[in-house]
Amino acid sequence: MTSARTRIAALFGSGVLALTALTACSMEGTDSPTSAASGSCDPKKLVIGYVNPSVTNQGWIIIGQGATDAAKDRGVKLRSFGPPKDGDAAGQVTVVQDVIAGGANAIALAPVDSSALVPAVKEANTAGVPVVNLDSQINGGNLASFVATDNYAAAQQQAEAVAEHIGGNGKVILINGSQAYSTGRDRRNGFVDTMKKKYPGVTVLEVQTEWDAQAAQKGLEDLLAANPDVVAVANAWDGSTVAAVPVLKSHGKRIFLIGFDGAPDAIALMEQGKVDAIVAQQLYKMGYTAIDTAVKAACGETVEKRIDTGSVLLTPDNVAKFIDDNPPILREFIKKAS
Amino acid sequence: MTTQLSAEATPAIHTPLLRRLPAFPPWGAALIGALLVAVVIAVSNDAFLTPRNLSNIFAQTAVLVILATGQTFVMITAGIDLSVAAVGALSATLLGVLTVANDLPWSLSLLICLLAGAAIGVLHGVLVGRVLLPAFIVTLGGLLVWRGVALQLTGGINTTGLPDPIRWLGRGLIAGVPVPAVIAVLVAAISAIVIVKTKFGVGLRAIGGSEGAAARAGVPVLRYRITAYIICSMLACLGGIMLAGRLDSAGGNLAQGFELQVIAAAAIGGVSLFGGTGSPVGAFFGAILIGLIQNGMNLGGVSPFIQQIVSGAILVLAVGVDQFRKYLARRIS
Repeated sequence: MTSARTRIAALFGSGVLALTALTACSMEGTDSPTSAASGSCDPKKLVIGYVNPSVTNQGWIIIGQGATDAAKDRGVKLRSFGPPKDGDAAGQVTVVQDVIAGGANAIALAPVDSSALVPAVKEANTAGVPVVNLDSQINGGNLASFVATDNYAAAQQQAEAVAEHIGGNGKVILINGSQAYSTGRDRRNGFVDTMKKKYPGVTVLEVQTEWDAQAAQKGLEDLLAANPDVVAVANAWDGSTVAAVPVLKSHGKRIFLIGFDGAPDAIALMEQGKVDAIVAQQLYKMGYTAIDTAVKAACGETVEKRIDTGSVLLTPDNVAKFIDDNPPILREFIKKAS
Repeated sequence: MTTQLSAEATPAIHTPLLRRLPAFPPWGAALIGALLVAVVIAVSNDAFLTPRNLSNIFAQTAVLVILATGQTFVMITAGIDLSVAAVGALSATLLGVLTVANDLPWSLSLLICLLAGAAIGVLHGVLVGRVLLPAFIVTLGGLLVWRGVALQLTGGINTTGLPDPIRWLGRGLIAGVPVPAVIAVLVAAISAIVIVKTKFGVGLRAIGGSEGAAARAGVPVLRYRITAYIICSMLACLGGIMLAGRLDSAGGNLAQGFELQVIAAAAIGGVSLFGGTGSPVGAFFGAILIGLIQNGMNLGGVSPFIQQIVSGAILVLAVGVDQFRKYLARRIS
């Protein structure tokens, strides 16, 4: 029901907005050619559009901070936009069209949906505005660069950490995010493939969610009740990690808990000894690199097609160093979260 | 569908007819559905009938029961409250800010949050009952506004490490029974008595049946209607806080889209969207049915996409069965 409605809304919304965007384009086209990238590049005149998929997720707040800082360092003007509502692909398409119409010189785009944003990228291509894709990969269009954690590799790292802790044997619950996102798929496949190939003694039980902490918790409770002999719980994002903590506490038996992301509330829980490990993305670096790359692309410089911003396996031993290596905002967030 | 049926049948309102079928109340479809689903899951999965799993189901469903009970008060007046999940998220976020960031005692914070809920209820009730805006629009606006306020309150950051008594509301045990389940049963039972036995409850149903007739019969329509929205919002606050306690995480993105499950639970339980009929007992069984389906599919590892399809089909089926029952009742008379 919901998806049908979304699709209708998407059709309607994109139709109307395409019209507006068209008129806006043709009007601009008469007096100035598309942003000339050749020759000397004055960053002060550049406008970079930063379009992200969530205004509420804490990870995105840190990525956004990286983006803001990069813009400040480069002296460009940054225009940040979230979708009207988290997970709203149609709304995000509209936002991209508005950013193009608004005269951005480059766009850093983190899609809500890998496929739904392809037409928006193509529109940017037509308008001659370079697009730097960050986080979840967009399935088509011409992308100047893709800046992201290699989620598949990071999930392999997560699986290795679990396998090492449990000695390569036992039942493990994996809580997945949405399989409609490349991020969600890569994190699942990296984990499951590693276990299948390298650790035949590990059984993976999966909980499927749409990045919804409440559903993650329910699924975990249901599977734990059916399989009390589970030895580890792995999460595809930290919203689920945080929701798993009270479940494991009331379970009684010690279960290894590993997260994914490095969100402030999950790090706070690690500092309290309630989370054993987190595969942390370099979120700040991702935001910073994306904007930096977008500025280069706007100036017509050649940029790398794929930039992996990497991941770090956080444990209680190295978490303090990780926080120190990040900008102070992370410490503030951790304090605010606990 | 309703209008078509009533046009062809007798013009009589269906409430008196229902009394002739005491063996099959409006929530019968939900109850039978829940039992059927339980049997199917029990047969197909050994893990279902363990005390722990059953206790999980009741604890997981408790918040849905509480929000659906609140929704019943509003729906009976032929209104609707789309803002319940957002109001729950707001009160949970507020509680997190008051207790964790500002170190206020949990009891005072809880009181402040419930009062904030009451104020929201007054606002909704006045806009619907006095300013005469459609309930759908008022509470759709509320859905956006209250969630926005919650996000703005913390800048989108979730709060963890809530006070123990709050976590107890969501996850504690009383003599082995989950606290949220106890609260949900109490809320549903008290509400059922209020709606069936009190002047207020009869008045609400009268308003939902025909507002003009209710007013002529001396029902204080505006006051009752505002009270229904207050109850709904306060129960939403209670539920939101219990959910945050359960997750030990409070923030503006709590329970996104949960309002649809709430309305589905009430509708499955035989609470009419056109007002006049319905009972918290129905909302209770409707919520349990939804909880059972999710549990069964989680145990079986079914994808959330299929879960959505099944939930939607069950909603239409349950309300369809109820309509068919009414149709039969009219034919018999």
